[in-house]
Amino acid sequence: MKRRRDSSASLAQDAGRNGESLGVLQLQWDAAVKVLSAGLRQEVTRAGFSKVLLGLSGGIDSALVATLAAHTFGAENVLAVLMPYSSSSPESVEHARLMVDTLGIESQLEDITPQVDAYFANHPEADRTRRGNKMARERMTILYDLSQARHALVLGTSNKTELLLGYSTIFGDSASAVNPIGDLYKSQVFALSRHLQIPELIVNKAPSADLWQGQTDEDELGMKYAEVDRLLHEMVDRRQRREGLLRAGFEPELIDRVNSLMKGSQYKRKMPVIVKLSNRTVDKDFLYPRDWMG
Amino acid sequence: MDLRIGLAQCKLKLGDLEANVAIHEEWIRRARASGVDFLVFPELSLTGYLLQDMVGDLAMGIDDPHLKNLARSAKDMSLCVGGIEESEGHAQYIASFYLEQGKVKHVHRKVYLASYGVFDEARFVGAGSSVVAARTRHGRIGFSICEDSWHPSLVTTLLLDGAQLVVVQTASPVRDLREGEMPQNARTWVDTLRTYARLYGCYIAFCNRVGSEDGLVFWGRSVLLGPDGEEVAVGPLYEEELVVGEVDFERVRQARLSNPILRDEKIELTCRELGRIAASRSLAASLDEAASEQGDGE
Repeated sequence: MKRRRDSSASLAQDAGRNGESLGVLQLQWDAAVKVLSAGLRQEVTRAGFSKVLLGLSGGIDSALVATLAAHTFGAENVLAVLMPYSSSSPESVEHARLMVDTLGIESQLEDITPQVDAYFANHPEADRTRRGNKMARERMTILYDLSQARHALVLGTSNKTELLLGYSTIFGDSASAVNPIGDLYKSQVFALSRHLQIPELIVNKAPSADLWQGQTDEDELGMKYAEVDRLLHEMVDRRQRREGLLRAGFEPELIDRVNSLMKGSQYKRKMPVIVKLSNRTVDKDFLYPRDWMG
Repeated sequence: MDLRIGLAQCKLKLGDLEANVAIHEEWIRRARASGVDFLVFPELSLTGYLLQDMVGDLAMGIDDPHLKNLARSAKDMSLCVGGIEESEGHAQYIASFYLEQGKVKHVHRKVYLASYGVFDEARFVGAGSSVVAARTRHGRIGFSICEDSWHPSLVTTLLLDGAQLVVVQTASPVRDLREGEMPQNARTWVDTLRTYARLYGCYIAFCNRVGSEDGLVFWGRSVLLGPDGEEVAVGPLYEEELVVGEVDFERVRQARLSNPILRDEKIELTCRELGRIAASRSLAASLDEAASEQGDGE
């Protein structure tokens, strides 16, 4: 990669957003990029595509996906779609443009305000969650339309923390064909982004879904990424039980809340349920890999 | 030098037998140009790995024309290819086919099916039930498919049966990448195989594929290990490569003279004790034992 630094020199930089040590979440980032890039390349070409597109929000997750995509497919094969709403922070579009310029990828601006406002003109009572979900799904429909128009595959930008906590809109930002960062916790997203020299402005700002003014992920979730990522790693990757988590010093309230968020959002990680009648049922015993192609 | 081995560290096309046969033909040509006597392909090289319900569509009998044609194309070169074998009774197995001089000379059915983590093999195929070192024109060769090799008992059996070379076909994907360049499971593989080679004084030809299926990235790094555990030839991580190395069976003799572990293996003792342990592991036996221990205490 053009701007990659010597990995040993950059180890000190590979910390979380606020410089916390990653501890067990520390990876050898060059090796990780190799694996992510190999998987991304094969899954996209296997599906018959050579181009990809993604929604570029100005935040760190989509900045990282855009960077990995440009590295894997070449800047000329990546389309970044900027889809602000009238209440989106102007900074978000600026940061997205900064990424577009940094990577030299193509971009397209699609203001989603008219269609979102047209719908809610008939539903003025809608709260901000409904409005936020609608925006996320509006963006999804644009990405999938452009996927068809440009013969480019939609890349996902959800990280492992979001996926496990269900901090996403089902069929909205969670929808994609291939997601290269879905097995990286948010702390690892920060570290890998630093390693790949994504601009500091983007890496250092507080993560936000930017659905309303002043929103931040950590306020909304009521937990810090650095801590919840360590907890998720213990629970999910190491299968540590409650007693072990308590011994390791995690607060019982945090453990319970994370447990309940994970279980409560399992539906977002699965396909819709089908009620079985026949001999072979699509979601149950009709088992083929996604890469099944004749 | 006795035998020039090639390890085809290749990408494959999942579920596409014809495309994979064409890939085999291409690698056979490459191997011939490198003077290879025996070319080894990865696990399930004719079908791809993540087959699930495709197993039935891709299964082949040992008389399948694809196998015969490959054996013929290879001419004097011996081959080890991977596929789904279907028995006369219509059971399917993950198999290593050893092809020699135009014929299928030996078949090993995978005994230990991986059914944990990302693997779910036992749902789709049956488990093999024999472990025999093949008699080949290159001498006795043992075949072990991926998970088989994580069971020292299977590898030991092949070696006690006379194998001087163990061929390991794998489709091993990245699991648990941490600080190093190699994922944790790859490190375990390297350590385990090196231990076998060194302990038993044998060659190990490990062929792992590259490419990816459904987000599982196969890590490659195929290796030919010599009787001192040294890497005679080794491939790169993640990239395709024909890895070629020489096997010198005289070195097996030398290693076993200085380290006669296999000579001293007490097979009858092991059989007797394992028989006792197997019997004691039945539920009835453990209930009897529990009852007698209670009786002793009273």
